[in-house]
Amino acid sequence: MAPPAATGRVEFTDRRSPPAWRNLDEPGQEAFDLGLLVFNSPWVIAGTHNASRRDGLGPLFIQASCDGCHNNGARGRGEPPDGLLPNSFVMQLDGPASPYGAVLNTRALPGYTPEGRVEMRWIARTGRYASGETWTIREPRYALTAMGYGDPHADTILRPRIAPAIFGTGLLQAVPVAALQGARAAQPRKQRGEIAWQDHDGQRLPGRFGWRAESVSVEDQTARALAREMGLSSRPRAQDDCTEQQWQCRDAPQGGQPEVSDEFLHALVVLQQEMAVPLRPTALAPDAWRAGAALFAKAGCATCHSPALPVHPEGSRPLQISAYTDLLVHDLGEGLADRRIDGRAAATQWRTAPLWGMAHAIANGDLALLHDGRARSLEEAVLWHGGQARDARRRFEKLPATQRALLLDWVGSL
Amino acid sequence: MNTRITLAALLLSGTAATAWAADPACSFKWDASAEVELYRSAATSLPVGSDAATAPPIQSGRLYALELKPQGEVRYSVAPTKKMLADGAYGGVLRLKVPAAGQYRIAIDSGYWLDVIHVGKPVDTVDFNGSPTCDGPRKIVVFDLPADTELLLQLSAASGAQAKLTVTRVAKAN
Repeated sequence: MAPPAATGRVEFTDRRSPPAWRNLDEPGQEAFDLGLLVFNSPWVIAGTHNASRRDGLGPLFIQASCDGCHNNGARGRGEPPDGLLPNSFVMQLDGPASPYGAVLNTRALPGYTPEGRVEMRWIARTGRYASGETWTIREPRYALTAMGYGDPHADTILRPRIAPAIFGTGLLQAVPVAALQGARAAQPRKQRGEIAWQDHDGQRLPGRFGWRAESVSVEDQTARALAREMGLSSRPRAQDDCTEQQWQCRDAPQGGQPEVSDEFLHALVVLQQEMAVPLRPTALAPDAWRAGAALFAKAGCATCHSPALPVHPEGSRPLQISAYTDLLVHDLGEGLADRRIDGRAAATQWRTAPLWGMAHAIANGDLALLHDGRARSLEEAVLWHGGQARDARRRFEKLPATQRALLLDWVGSL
Repeated sequence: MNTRITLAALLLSGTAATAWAADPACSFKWDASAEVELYRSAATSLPVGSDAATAPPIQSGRLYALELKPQGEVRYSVAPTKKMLADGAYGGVLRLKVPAAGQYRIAIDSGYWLDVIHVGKPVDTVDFNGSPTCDGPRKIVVFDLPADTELLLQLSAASGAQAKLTVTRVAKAN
């Protein structure tokens, strides 16, 4: 088993100042540095004195800064006690048009009514490995309360999401479409994924970002998050998430048109495109590393969590990355499905989550894996895999305890 | 049942660990009832200093209502460790000395950045957690602090000129 490509990986000496994955020219470095300032800074009420570059927050919002959800660029962390929502949590809404738009904004500026509150409880599920040990995973159940604009439609689909890491997104954007098609063609029919094609500005492009690959580019994803979760307009998205019924929100003072300048949007995109994937020295001995990688492949995990993808980054020669994703969407079964308010399952397809940077996430603590952060460990995340990944999960469940531990240690070293 | 009545009853019966979970608007991953209670107490008004020399002292176990300064007027001993835009931002400097070494939690009510400086270097944070919808402490940061040593608290990138802050000792490991 060949060691993974180190492309895009850099050891972080200070989590708060993430490095770029390649040497940038002077304008590139300036944009990267400005992007970090903008990413970290809280936005403020429209008209705030001396803050015209960063005003226009809300009036309905979830977080005031990008960093509020993607702390230091990392994936959102979870909180162990029952009932608490992670800080980096967003409840997206889908289905029939509702007064709430695409996300439930849980905060509002003074004088405005928040859209509501999300309450969560956990239901334990238990099972047993072939070798006899028991396991427990937990399933979240959600309720929307204190709804500020009336009851949502009963067919509304709740899409709980925890913030993913933003590391390495520029490299994922640089994976050629032909490579996605090639990865798909190489997969067995039973596990074959689909390219999440999206219609975007008159073009048909592969979705790459978001838990279901809804966004076609870093800029698309960034503008979407600014509008929905911070109430900020930008060139690609002139409107935030205020709906027609929310006239107070629609009439709120603006922080400019758009509120996020092109300079700031460009800087945010450069930051994310160039931010390195954190590299941590592995504690695994070379033999254990090779054995863990072999188990990962033997169990079938590598069919979707592909260890090698080609990339053609703008301004660099073609490279290969080890992101452990195929950027395709797969059916992962009803257990992970988004659900309607009455509990009925909705979509079950998810983009294969990249596994690179997992060691960094584990070191950050309060691990919260999968789209809603329900998995507190890699083991729990594996045990939630169903649908097209069911066979791989079953092979994992049949491994002896020592081999399961080795496989999980290996993923945790990525 | 009225949430406030439930909370008070649970506090009286000494089950504080359950009490903090009873108020979903102030949900932290630890028992933050001490901070929530402090935020309900009368605050001491305090203008912050513009540098180490003018920084006023604060004590643990009290709620402070801080009057911040425009950040351009503040001279930090060490640059804020989080890089943020300074336009329209407020900040300031405070002094703190704790009698016993150990973990302390600093609870803030609005979005600003906080560094603790010890002998010219930022003290690493042990942990942090937030509760953005809480009408009281919204973020709590945990530091391991040395005893009887002058520490500087540097506040930066605040959105407004007013901010509240408490320092509390962690009774036991989180």
